[in-house]
Amino acid sequence: MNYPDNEWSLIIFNIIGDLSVGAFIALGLAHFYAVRKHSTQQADLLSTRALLVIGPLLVLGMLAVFGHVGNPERAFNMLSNVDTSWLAREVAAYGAFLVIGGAFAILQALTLLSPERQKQIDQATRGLLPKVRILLAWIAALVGIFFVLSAAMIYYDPRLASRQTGWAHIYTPILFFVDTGLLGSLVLGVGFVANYLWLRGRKQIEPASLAIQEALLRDVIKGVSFASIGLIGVLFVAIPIYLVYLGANPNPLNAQILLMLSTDFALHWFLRLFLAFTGAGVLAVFIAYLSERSQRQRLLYLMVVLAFVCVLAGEVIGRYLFYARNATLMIGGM
Amino acid sequence: MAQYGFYVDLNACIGCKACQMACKDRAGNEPGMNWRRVLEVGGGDWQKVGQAWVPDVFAYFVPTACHHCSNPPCLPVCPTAAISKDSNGIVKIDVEQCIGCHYCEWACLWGAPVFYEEQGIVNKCDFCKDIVDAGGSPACVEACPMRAMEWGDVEELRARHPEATFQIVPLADPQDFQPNALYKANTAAGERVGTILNQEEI
Repeated sequence: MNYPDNEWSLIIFNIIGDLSVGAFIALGLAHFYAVRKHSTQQADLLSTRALLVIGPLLVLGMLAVFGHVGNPERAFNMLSNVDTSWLAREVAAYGAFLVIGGAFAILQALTLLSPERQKQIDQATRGLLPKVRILLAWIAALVGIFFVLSAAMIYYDPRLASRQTGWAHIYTPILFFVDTGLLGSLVLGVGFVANYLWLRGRKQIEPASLAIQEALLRDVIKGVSFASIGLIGVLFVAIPIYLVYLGANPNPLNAQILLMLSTDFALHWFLRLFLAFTGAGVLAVFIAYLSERSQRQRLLYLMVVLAFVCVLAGEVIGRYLFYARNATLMIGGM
Repeated sequence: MAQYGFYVDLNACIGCKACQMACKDRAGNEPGMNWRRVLEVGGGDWQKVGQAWVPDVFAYFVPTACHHCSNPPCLPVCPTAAISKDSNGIVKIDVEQCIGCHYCEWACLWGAPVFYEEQGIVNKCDFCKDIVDAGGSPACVEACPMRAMEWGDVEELRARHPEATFQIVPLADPQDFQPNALYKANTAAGERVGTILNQEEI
């Protein structure tokens, strides 16, 4: 184990990638729920602005990863070996998610146009747009899931298992998918709150419509809190299993990882668990409770933001620890 | 297809690191950047002989570099397809294709790929391909004053040194990567297991 201070670009890239994919999928679920419960118009009002934040985030993630590679100007070379390299697959999936998700976001943004402007689009195109949008959304979601899988497999790859014993456990893909779900749903909670407050601040929106948005927001936030509680439950089952694996595995590297987690990285490890449990566990319970009531809405919104901040901070420390488990030069098995 | 490999007699090696220096010289590597490293391995304890405690220690040296594995873990994981095996089984890195993502470093069990901060690429032992193709011997083999090293087709080396193995302390278990390096074990250690003494240096 080592201090992975050179890996901040990878940490940022992975967190942004997982968060974006998670947010995209959670947004799709929330949109689908809003359509079923009210109307497409209300669903668009709820989700479209939140969607537009994902694109710039993905571009930021791409810029961050350039800090990890020695020759970023040769970035396209990374697509040369998708046949056997999970890293090449990850990069390809990230790019495809950015492009397909971007195309979807542009089409979705058309719903924000005024009715007069929308009428300028010819009728046949207007009829086709929702179908193309849904198709693109499905493809982007699947590509996003493949991106998270590829990102996890870079580290969980059996070809690395004999050296990177700290990563060679099912805990690695579980961690990546739990992060995706937690960060994605909670950031979306924050996005929906911001969107609602923005709508409320505008005078043009009808009170009836605002009331629907408020009810939808509470429903969605409740869904986010339940998802968080479920996901943190998965993580807190996976962690002890992983620690037992480290303790039981005879490889000296694993003993070293356990030792470092209880000495040099003990504070990191404590904070990682504490923040994740506080954000996705304790605060999520309060959020679920408050979302049932129409009072104390400001407190509810504050809790949603706080839960996201806690989970994000916990994930940053968690990823730092993840790279700290990278075996440095290991010529021998000692 | 031939498969080149190295053979080192660890009883003959005196740890002078001439191989390391010759490699560095030929590759033009800066201090601290080594394609070939010499591990100093030692161990032992005090033994009671009659009424006296006497030291019973051992030490030996293990020169190591890229083992040009038959099934190299670095090759399939490289996203840029910069790593390949040539007709002599030499594992090469195309430095024009490499983007310096470090993935091969993470995959190699023996720390062979070396990252060059300034150029932003990874490179490693290329078996002195240009010298070998011109009919010479790799720089490390040529420089060894004890004639402890040999090179050639690994099957021929194995036939010449049937006792040679890769299962040498402290080299990591080769799994199914089939490294093409053979070592004649040092007899001083016997059944005892040593540790790497120059961890900082390597």
